[in-house]
Amino acid sequence: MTRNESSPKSHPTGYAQTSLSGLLMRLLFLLLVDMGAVWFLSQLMSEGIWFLAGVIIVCVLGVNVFFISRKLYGLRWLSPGLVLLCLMVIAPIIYTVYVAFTNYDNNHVLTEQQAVQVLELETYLDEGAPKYTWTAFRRNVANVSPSGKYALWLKPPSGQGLLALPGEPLQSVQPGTAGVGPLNAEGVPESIEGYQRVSRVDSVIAISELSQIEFGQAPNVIKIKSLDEAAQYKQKYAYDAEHHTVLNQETGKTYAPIEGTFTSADGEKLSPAFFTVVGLRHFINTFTNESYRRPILEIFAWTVTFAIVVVAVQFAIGLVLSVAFMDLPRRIAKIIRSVLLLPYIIPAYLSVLVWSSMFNPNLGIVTKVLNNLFGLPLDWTVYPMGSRIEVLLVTFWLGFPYFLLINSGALQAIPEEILEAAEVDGASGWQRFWSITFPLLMEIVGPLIVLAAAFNFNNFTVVYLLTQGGPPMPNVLTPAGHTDLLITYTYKLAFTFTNSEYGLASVISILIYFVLAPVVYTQFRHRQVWAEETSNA
Amino acid sequence: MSRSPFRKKIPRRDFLALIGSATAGVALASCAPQVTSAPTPQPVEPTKAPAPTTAPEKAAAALKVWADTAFVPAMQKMSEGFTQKYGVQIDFNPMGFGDILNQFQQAGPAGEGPDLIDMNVDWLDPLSRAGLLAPIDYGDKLDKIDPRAVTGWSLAGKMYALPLAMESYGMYRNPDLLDQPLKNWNDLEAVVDDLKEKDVEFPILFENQSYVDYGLITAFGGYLFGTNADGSYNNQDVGLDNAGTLKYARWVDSMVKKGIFKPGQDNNTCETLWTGGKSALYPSGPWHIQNFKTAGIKIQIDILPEADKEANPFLSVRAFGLNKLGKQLALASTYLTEYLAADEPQKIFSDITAKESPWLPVKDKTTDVLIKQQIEAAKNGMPIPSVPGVMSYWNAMTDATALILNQQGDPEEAFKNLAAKVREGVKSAAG
Repeated sequence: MTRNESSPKSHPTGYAQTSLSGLLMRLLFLLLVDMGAVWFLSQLMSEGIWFLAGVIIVCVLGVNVFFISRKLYGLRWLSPGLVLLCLMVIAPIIYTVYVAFTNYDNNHVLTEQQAVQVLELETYLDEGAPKYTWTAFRRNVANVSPSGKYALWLKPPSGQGLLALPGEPLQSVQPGTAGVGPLNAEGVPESIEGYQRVSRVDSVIAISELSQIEFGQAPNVIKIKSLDEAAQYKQKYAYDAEHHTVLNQETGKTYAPIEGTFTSADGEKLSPAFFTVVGLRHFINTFTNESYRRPILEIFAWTVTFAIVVVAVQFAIGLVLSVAFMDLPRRIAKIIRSVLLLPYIIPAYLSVLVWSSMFNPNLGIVTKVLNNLFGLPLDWTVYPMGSRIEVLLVTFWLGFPYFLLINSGALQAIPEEILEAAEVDGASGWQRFWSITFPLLMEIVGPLIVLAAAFNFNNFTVVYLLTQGGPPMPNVLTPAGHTDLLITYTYKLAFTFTNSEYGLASVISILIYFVLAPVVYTQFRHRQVWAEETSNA
Repeated sequence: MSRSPFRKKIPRRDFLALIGSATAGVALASCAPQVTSAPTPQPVEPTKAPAPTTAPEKAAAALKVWADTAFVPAMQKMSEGFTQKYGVQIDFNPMGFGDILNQFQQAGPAGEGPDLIDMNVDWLDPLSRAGLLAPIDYGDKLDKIDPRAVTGWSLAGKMYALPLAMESYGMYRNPDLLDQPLKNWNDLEAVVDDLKEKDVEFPILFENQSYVDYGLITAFGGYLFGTNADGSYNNQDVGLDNAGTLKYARWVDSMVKKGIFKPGQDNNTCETLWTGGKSALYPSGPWHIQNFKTAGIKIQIDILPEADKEANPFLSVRAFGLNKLGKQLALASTYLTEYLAADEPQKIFSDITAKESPWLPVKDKTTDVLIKQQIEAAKNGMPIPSVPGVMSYWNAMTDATALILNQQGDPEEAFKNLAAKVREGVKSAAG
């Protein structure tokens, strides 16, 4: 810092011009950021959430470097964006890949530390150790610490009562001596010298405080468990951090972690289980287990078909309409075009649900009309092929206005002169379209077509809201349906399947990435070529 | 709308929430005078009324509860007495019922959970296995709780909840179209023929709903999990491909082939057809009652028909559970055992929510006709199993039924595959 201040004039950039107050502001800002980060990190680390902690360390270090280094001055203003990119895009991708190698599901949500913390709260009573009923007495002196405030009269199931004070051994006191008054009908002293008896109602009020106090002398400590029970509870499980094992102090059994469960040598398992790396299990299952593999292959084939057919048809409808509009009077074309944009403007969420009820076999208007006109069975949408056609029809409807929009724009951008020149050369309308208009159009909208295909590859909304991926495939062990896309299948595996198989779902997410990455890469290449051409021209 | 995932999921697990939200408002209004006029519980020791020395502690104590939004008004009302007597506030945090389990599983182990949660009987297994529920000792009071609720909420002889409401399902009947209940599924064809002659368009509605359809399976002798001698479920014994279930599969198939059961009758479609008076029979649960009442259609709830034996529909038991890692475990436990396990608060809750009370002294005094019909319909109900693997049943059952409704493949194969999926689920959930 001092170095920066000592040579303010050597840098004519904005950085060097910073005044002392600017520098102080910057340091103050970094101080606040770092303090916040340290607090947050300590929270995360105490919970054992190392991954998020690592990401945040990277982000905070980055911000610090950007704000201090001169060379990276420009990055300072990009840092919020870079931090968000790190947190929201890069970290989730890394995490998804990581989860694919773990046993993360509904039964394995805790970290190992959390599981140990839960286990360490388990208590046990020694064989034959009595459970007492208790009565609390409060000291008459004001302003004593909570631990010195109470005495407890303990009554075992049979036998004589005991007086328990924090930090002192249990005393067997003869009622009527040593300040302890005679017993009442319930076997509780009517008075203890220096103390006042706490009524049952007041015991309830004070029970949170009372249950924290350790009565008796360590290690023989009596604790209150409920309004009617106090006993000498002992911690059941002790964790050996060095060997990562858990010892049952009651039975002496040792439990070692096996695939996220503390398991004893004779196979006894402790809950809760925790999540941990299990290697390639999900990948192997996905590719070798017949009941996993078959639906994935079928779903993959349908997903690709769906994306290609949808985009081809949407593009064709959009193109035909926009060409047709070119010859209409502008005003009429404008009105019709506005109306045709409606499917694109209405939220897909609503329109898909409306379509879903229109295709219903019992009440649907579409199924009824088709039944009246062509004698199509009312329930055609419940069969595999029928439901796929249903999904396709609705997606055509939702997407064609997009292509109508970009095609009409692109057609207007094609220079009239070229077409006129072709006309002079004697080309027919058909020839002009296929040889001039269409290639030029593809040049413009090509990248958008690729992107639309990638979008439809992951078109969750339509499929999930319309059919939920159904109808189901027979004889598979996963919730696979005939209209499932990879993305809806992944969702079902992760969130509606038996144990929420996040690991398996992550494997499929990775598969989706490997399918889409080349598509998008090609599209970038295509754009680059195009950009180079235009810049050369 | 019709096939929305949210709609479809609701009846299965959140049905109490649904009907609760629908009725709570109305019931609250109608019951309010009764509740306020109820005598406040007398302190155990009237002479020791709140002493001034305890005042600061009183202000500090408060219990946090995560509860279903629909139930919160009733819960607040029934807890007023506790706050009056002990000066302990109960803070209810209204949540979507479906969110409570998931969020508690995450927040509980991190030490950020509430002191108590509102839960359903099928959560016992996941929550107890996560080490998040503390057992509760009721002593003699246990005899006052419906034994089915006790069985459902017990593990190894320990009870893990304070039951608040029970619910099952039965057969809706439109008394204007059909004056006698359908006693046996074997009579269905004859009844349907009669109704068709009377121009009833959809004599019976058959919804592909795994929670309700389970009641039909059991009438044919099928079951999801077998039971041990103590009434607990044995997930090693899956009965979804036994002779009874396969008979059920063939029966559904024949009903589809005869056009009596039709595909595509989901929750909304059924409700529309029913309120339009187009149907006379509909096996389903009380989450429809409010909408049926609003539509002004007469309803009668009958017990589910028998076939080879009586039906054992799923029984749902909503309850409060104790967060074992809560910082005020002893106080929260006292709230349940000392205060809520008593006639007065249980009656308030049952009155406001219009539900079958698991607290026998309250249940025995029910006068409401519709609640009585529901109690009768639920009398052979068995708690939703809470054992590893039960989660794999719900969607797999919908798929199996869909295959039969869509006439895809052999009906027996569909249910054999269902049984295989559940066994797979048991295996992976236990591992």
